[in-house]
Amino acid sequence: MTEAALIRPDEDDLPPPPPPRSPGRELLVELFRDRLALTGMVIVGVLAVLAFLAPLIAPQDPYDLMQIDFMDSRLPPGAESMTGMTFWLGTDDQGRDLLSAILYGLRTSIEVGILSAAIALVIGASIGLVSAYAGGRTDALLMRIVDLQLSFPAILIALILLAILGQGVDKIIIALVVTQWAYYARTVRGSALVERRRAYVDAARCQALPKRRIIFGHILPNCLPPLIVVATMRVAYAIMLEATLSFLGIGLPVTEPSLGLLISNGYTYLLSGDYWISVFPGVALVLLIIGINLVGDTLRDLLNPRLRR
Amino acid sequence: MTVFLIRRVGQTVITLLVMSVLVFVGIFMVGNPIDILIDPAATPLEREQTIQAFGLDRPVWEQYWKFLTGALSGDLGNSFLFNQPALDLILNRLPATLELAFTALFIALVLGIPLGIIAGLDPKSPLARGIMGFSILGFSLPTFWIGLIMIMAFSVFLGWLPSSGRGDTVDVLGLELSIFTLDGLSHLLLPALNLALFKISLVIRLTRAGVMECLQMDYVRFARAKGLSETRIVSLHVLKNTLIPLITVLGIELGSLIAFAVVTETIFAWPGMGKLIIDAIAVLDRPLIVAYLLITVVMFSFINLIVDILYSAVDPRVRLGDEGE
Amino acid sequence: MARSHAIPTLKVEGLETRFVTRRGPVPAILDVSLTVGRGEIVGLVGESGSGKSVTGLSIMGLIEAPGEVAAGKVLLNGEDLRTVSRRRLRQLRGDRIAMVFQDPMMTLNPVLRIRTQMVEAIRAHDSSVGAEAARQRCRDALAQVGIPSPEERLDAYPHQFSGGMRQRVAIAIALLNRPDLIIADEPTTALDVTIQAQILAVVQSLCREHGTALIWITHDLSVVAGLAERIYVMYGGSVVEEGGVDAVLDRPLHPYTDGLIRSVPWHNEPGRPLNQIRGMVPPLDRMPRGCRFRPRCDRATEGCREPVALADIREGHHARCIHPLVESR
Repeated sequence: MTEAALIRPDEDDLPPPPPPRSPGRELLVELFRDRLALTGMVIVGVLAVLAFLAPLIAPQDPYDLMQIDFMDSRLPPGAESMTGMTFWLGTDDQGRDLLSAILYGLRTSIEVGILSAAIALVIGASIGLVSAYAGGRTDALLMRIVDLQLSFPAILIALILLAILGQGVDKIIIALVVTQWAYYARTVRGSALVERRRAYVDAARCQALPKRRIIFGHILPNCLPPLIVVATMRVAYAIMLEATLSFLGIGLPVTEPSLGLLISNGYTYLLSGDYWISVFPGVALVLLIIGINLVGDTLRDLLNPRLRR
Repeated sequence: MTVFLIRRVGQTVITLLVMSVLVFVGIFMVGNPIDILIDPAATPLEREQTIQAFGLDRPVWEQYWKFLTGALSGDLGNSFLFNQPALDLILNRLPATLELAFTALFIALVLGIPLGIIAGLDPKSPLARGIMGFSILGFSLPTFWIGLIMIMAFSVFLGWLPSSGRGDTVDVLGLELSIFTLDGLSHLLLPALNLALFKISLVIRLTRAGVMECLQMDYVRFARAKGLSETRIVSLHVLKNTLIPLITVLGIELGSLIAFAVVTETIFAWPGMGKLIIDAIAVLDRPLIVAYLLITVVMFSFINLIVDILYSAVDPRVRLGDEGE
Repeated sequence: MARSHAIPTLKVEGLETRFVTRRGPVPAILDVSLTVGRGEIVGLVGESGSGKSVTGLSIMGLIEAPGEVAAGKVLLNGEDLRTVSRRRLRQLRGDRIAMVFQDPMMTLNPVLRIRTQMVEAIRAHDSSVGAEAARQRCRDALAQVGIPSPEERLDAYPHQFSGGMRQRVAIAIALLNRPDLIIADEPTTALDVTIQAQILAVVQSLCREHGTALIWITHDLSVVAGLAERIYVMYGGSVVEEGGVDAVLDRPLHPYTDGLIRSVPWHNEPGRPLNQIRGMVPPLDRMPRGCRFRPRCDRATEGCREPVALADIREGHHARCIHPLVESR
């Protein structure tokens, strides 16, 4: 052993560790860095803002019967009304300004989509948590119901419910909620089961924390990642489902703004060349859905632990 | 294996019973059952007679029993719209819908699986990214709208394909199928493609995810260590592991295709069950709705059963049980 | 123990493998050199994270993105595996050089029969072998590794075997084409101790019988003690000591090796605190400059901040340390 001075470990010149970032912030940084997701967020952001400002910025309220004139019906894009208002995107068969109708329709779509997803999420997540925490027969029974529900296509369930319940905005939302809750329930239950087995839950229980606190404070936050992904995809699907049902005539009533209804109205005129009535609302709908899906897709890739390397 | 079969069949029967109760409760009890079953235009005398005939003044369980026995013997009442037995109406239209759904499934698999494999083998390549981008498009485009666009493009502007209806049919084993005639095929192509679009995306994604997951597995590494060619590794080792889980998804997707055919049939005026049910819902033709629901539920349960059996037959871990350890 | 003067089966020089991370490339192994003579059994020992598995995979060319082998030579019978064509590499793998992995559960493809996975190993290198002949060879291989009723076992699926059996199958596959070298990456770590002993015995006897060289990668010193002729000790991605197994284990030169040997619990007298090497292995991207063991070493001085080369301290016994334990314990 030489007599040269021994160096102590804490004198080492190791590079300092990078400052830790919370996983939430980390995720947001990654999300914004992905070009596709960014495009999606921009699209959705723009559409959402436009939609919610609809009453203020739309040239006309197309669902106020006082404001539309049947004489204006089926005018091509760019035409002018008698009152001097320009129909930038043309008019439909009732004389509604398509641009305004689209904005109002987007608003309805977004509202219905988010509202139904939110309700379904709360219901589904609660059931999922209860199921995971209760375990045993309760869990088995609840999951059987979930599986049964999921083995039937959403559109069929919606068809049945609407056949029974009839038409109306609230009925549509109920139908959309019923088609979705099972996804949330299954996702949350899966995450909750994994989390429950983790050591820190046992540690928390040893500390005699009340059950509710354990569930909501500890387990739930860790169930969030897959839940966010599922929620995003389900909102997009709900929006599309509502439009589809409205298109078929069993969705929103004709008095409500709906992109699906606009498209279905325009269907009859498609073959005679008045394409804009169906095409433009469709484009708006497609942009909205694509935007949400772009974000959801990237979220899914970012939050998937197995494919990340 | 037989135990498994018996158990599965038993489960299916129970599911069917539960569903029949749900359908019964939904249709016959929500709202006024008298208004549901009786033509709104009937006279009070006819109403009274119908009430007697349908036993609507009887206790609930007796009504259910009547409903169930009627269903099992094929009698679900007459449709209001057509005044013919509801069940027969639905069954007549069933082959057309099934033909559409199966063709769509076929297209989705034939296009989706190879694209998914390509996307999964080299996920960072431009081709893979392009495929994934296309797949996002696929499930973001609402079926009904893209159907309209397809009609505009291929029928109106290009005039290549007919825009509606079903083509000539050929009798195959008692079923009228149009896929075997050229005219039938030209009518089938657009609607089937339309219906398939959504599913193609799903198949691409599932296959891609499966391939990517398999490639990370030790057995792929071991296969490389053995000196096997990449072709063999992908076409046997990876493919078999990827496709087996796909089978379970197929069952649900076939059911979903049958249900979603409702939309495609409406747009392309395809004479299947779907169009019928939309009209029925619009006028609240309950016997028809009930008939559709029951047929669909039976079909789905059957499909699920077949898929389960198929899966357990193909996956050796399930088939042979676990004898090791 | 000196070998004959023939070309060694394997000669690895200056191997470096790194992983490309968002913050730049991180070396997993650095300046690794090994030599394995014909039919020699060599042990590669180290903790998790020491780079021993990466070394094995790098030799086989099985490192995938985001990892890449950045430098060095891997000479198998004189042929540099790093520069040969992909086709040649495939020809050699499974034929002249084979590998056995740690987890027998996932090494075998669960949806393919054993015979499929064995026959393909033969056919990939000699497509002229007939079905019956190939089956015969597989049957014999299974019997050699001690699997009862090999004929029925051929048609079975992996999940029908226990862990120990599966590992035997993996070894049988490795030996099918009589390779010159087998790299065994912790093949018994996941198995029970008694099974471990059986597998060790099988591998040892088969290698002796066929003259196959063997690199046995493990973290367990006791395993190499009874099996290997020479041993390499790895720490922090580099070889820190190499030599004959008796020399290294009885008179270790590197403080890490010494600490490793002392840490084995049964060296300790009951009641006395267990020996441990203080501190922990630093993460790959935060390795200290110079000697990587420095932060945990009681003998470290300022001079240890400079990179240290592997030096021949005693005949044939090398260590990467400027303060080796030259006095006997």
